[in-house]
Amino acid sequence: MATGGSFQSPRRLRVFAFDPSTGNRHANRRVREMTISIPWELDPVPPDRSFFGPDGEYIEVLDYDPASGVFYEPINLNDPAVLHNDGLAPSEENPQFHQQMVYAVAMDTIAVFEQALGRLVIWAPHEFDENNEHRDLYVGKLRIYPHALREPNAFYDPEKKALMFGYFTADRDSRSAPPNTTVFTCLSHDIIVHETCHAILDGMHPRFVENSNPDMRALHEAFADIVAIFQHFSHPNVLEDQIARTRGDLEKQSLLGALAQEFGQAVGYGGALRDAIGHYVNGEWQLREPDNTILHRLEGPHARGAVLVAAVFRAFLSIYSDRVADLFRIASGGSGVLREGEVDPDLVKRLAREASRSARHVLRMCIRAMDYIPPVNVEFGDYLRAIITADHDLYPEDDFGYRAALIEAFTAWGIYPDNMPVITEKALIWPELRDAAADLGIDEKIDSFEAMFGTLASNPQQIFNKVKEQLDYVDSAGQVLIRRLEAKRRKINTILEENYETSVRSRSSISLPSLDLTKSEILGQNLLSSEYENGREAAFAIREFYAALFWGMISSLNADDDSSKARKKGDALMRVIGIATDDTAPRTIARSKMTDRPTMQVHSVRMANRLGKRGQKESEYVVEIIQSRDAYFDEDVQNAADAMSDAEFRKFWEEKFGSTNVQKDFRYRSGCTLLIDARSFEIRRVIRTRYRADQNEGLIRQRRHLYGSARNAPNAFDNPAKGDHKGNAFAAQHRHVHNGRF
Amino acid sequence: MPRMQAPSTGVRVRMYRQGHGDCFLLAFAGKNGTANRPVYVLIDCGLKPGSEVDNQEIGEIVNDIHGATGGVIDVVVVTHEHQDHVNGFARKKSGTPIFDKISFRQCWLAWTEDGGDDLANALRDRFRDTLVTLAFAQEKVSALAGAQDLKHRLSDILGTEIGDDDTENEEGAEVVKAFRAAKRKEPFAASSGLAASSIKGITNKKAIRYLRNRAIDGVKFLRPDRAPKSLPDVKDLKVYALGPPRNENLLLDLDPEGDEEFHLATLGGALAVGGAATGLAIAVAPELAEDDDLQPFSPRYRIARDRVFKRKPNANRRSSYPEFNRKLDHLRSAYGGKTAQDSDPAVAWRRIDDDWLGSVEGLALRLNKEVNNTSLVLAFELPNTKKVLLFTGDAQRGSWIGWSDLEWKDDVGVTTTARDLLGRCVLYKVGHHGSHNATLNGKESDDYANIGWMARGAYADDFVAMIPANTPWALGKPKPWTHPLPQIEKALMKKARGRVFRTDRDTIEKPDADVITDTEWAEFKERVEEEGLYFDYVIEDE
Repeated sequence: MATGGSFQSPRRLRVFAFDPSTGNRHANRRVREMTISIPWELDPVPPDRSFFGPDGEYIEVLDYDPASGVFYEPINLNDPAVLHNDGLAPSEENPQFHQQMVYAVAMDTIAVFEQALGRLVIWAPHEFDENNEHRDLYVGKLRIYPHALREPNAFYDPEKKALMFGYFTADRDSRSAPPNTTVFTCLSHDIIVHETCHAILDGMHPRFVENSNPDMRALHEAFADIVAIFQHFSHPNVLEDQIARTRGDLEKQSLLGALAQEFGQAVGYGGALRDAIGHYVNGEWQLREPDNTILHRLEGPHARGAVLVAAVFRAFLSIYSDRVADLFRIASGGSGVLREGEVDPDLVKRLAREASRSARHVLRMCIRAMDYIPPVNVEFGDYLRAIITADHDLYPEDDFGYRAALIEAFTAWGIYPDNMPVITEKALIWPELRDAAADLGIDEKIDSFEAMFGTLASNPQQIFNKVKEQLDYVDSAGQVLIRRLEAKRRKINTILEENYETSVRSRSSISLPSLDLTKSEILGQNLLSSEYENGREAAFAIREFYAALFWGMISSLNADDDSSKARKKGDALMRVIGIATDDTAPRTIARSKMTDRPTMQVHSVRMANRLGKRGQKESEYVVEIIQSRDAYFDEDVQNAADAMSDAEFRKFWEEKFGSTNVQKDFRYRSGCTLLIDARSFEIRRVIRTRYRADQNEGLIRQRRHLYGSARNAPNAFDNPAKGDHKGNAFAAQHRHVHNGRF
Repeated sequence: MPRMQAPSTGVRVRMYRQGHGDCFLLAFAGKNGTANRPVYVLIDCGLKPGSEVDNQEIGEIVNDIHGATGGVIDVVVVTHEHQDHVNGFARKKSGTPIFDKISFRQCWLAWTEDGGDDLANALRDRFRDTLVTLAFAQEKVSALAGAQDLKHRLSDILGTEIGDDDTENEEGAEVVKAFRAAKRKEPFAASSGLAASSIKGITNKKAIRYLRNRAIDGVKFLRPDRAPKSLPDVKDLKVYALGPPRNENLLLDLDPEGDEEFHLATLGGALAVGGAATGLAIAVAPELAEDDDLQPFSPRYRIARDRVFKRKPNANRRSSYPEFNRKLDHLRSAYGGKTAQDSDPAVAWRRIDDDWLGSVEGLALRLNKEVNNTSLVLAFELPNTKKVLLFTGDAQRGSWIGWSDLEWKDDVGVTTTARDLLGRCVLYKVGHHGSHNATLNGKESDDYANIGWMARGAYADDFVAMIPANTPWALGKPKPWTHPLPQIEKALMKKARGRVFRTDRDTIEKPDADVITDTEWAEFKERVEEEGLYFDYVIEDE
């Protein structure tokens, strides 16, 4: 619950600005540490109560070190010596400082995301099967184990929803930490941001950890690293010192790039992901020249991710140099060349501020783009379109040339959709529903679809009633949906009643009756828009409720009308948004138990709020729809599965393999994200995966990719295509941190 | 037993079907055609214990080799030091090595076995340090409850690296024992020196030593940067060594700035704070958790885990309830009890009791891969048709990449590239039982050696592949091995149009008629002999 405290000042906590070994260098002594301010309301623990862990609203630091057989005593952030001192002083020796640092940096990262996205950060749910039923349980807190491993590794474990940090002994050849000393990955600012970012992105897009194409995991890695780099740059005090020290490099702008890489190398971390930014030639750091064919040759999440990092960094540099050109002219009397000697401290401050502003803007663009992206199977080109569209919809005019800079840099590195005749801002922007429909010659049903969504958003009860009406009589599958919706509604009630109890009733001096929502018309109002008031657990339940209801709505959209003509229209509309619902679609696409027609999964219905240029609130609903299809490596098996009923296929399988145990090789997914205007309910953007579920090209591409990754998989014994469970999506990938393999 | 005959031109290749392991016998016509005795080349002889096809003893294979060659092998090749390639050479019956009845003229090994080569010596240091570390790790891991997957993995890999047919979970025991004995004798000696002596006695080493001692005409070390070799008494045949590469980065899983995180120093001598080995030590001997030198933080911050696990959180606490006790309660309710079973299911799913052991598995896999990459890779080029037979041992990706830009210039200035050789390849001995990473996928136009480079143009029609693998056994292992990888097998089936030999299949079945014509298939089968013990395949050179 995000309540409590009126205008409490933020919680300030000290951390290492980079990591201990970088901070120990004499030249860096002035930027050894920095202080992070965490808005009080993110963790409003009253000062008179203990704050162990730190175990807060979003994050739960639990310091168990299984390889040493011990726990470490948790810090109390509300201990006066901590609270009034900006936290414990940075120290490698004190594990409580480690706890403080992972907490502070992770919270800082969360704050950046909430600001950019205009909604609460929610972790991916705990998924498991119980009594043959799939369950998604709300996870309130990301767990952080600061000393989980004795190895040079740190990763996000998507099954435990936990960040695992390791520590190791620096070896003889260590370039940063003195040999034989202990290096803690949880004391590296960049590593903490990087891993937290994986967790946040997993919460937004749980399917992004699937290895569906060569770019998908690379995007996860690159995105995490982009956030790590730019979050660093957004702290101007860190930049000031560096800019002052290396004044000669400013004109060449190599400084910032060198810095980005240096952050990475301190713990030997991130080297691989940042390799593409630049390199040293005869001791001079140089930005690497972009190569627009390199992606054709690169494999693996790190190599490919590095290209994306380099492209974003290149865009940042051109934005920055454009923004400081005038400062240089002013400071140099028009020549643009600074005179010898120290750079004027005022100029340093201004330069640092421009760098940090550019960084913050690029960072927000990159984060917002994650709402404008297909829900599965994303390629780098889609990400470019997402960045451009997200920024365009907020700032229709590209005053500072941010979008132009990004398009140019991405194109230079060969990152653009490969099915586009021209790469312009206009072409890259995702289509509106009406345009997408017009392309397919469809114009009916759109209005009614939008109107229906409008009703869903503002008065879910009505849609609920309608769904009930239509499904009630159908069969047991329909009953299951109704029961599930009822359960979700009860859950929302319970949470809201509890919230009321803790934040209002228990503190009130006049005796108030407790809240009983069973009798009230809670579903008669827009619940999505009051996320901040209701808190994260309610937000999760509400998003889930809306998703289930939206699913019921579009499913009954087709069930509603039995005439084949109406049905065709419905199917056509769904095809516009990239969903195959017609009966002739391959049988391997998951089918509805109610209608036996191809079905879909509504992954998320959530709201995004941002401030536009005029300071106006821009709100949109983000809806994600996914279709899944069973896929096989063997083409004959695939064809059979596509065409046959379940029973027939089982027979086919038995004849072919002598077993009734049908096992698919992988899942092919496709889908669509809809951006819906919160005022007019117009569907502003239709963001589809490259291929629909019924398009074999997509399936074949994924199959070919998995064959390819088989070649790159980590070992020669396990079946790489099959042994790819979510839990170790990052563990092996991040092993051997200090080898630059992160 | 009939002698194995060589065709008048070309070669007869015998693929033994002992199980999961390699053993190939090649018969080339001698200098004066069939009038002379053929020249025999034996490549590897090993078998993963338990993987026998039809319970065939390796002894029967050796008997067949004896009969087929008349007891003289002209060249014996060992590709690399793995159990399934060498343990036949160490096998004894009633105290006598079973190979004693056969004599060897030359022994060919990869340059990585050359004691006079600095790079080779550095590599072997690295391998044996890792091996000893893993042996210690196994001892400790086997004392832990749970961690089944890791135990199987360690057992599999140590078995392969050491070569003994020991029982599960004790493969490394001899090595550990030898290391401890050496340490007692020379307490102040450097650990890596002790490691060398402690692995001397392992089967794989014995096997190689046995061959080196018995090669009448000596040992030759082959390198990719040297001119091709010829076989004694075979006219004009050239044997190119494509691997192992002379490049450490390709050979090892190395990054330019990296080094290992495991050092032997952490075992024989002091344990390092940040080493997984130390974690293992503490796991097995909990009293070590009290040793401040092994702990990253001083005692005032540490709470012994049992203090937390055994705690019963106090529900109605008074205001005087000490802060430290509240902290213990906090930890207990957040993490749970001693085991997942003792804990509230709501928190048990997030426990991390065994996760830190992953680094041991990573180290084991790495060692296995690196030794595979030291495989001697041979391309036999027939003199007339220039057809090539490619035997890759278990070479993995790094080695393949290393072949890509190899070239050799002969006396008259004609250059042969590895790309040419692969293009003329008509027989491919599939690397590492068809595992991923031991056959690279790709296209002809790619700039690295891959399956697309093989058998091009006129040679495409003659391509066959031989996969030494026993899939039912591999998939039935407690921790199954995907050998061969279905994708690779399929790619090979396609490329060879069905002409793929598999250890575990008695016969090569004809694919559909649209893949290969009846005439072509008949021609192929004419050159094949399918026996219980082996497949013979004849490649003519005219």
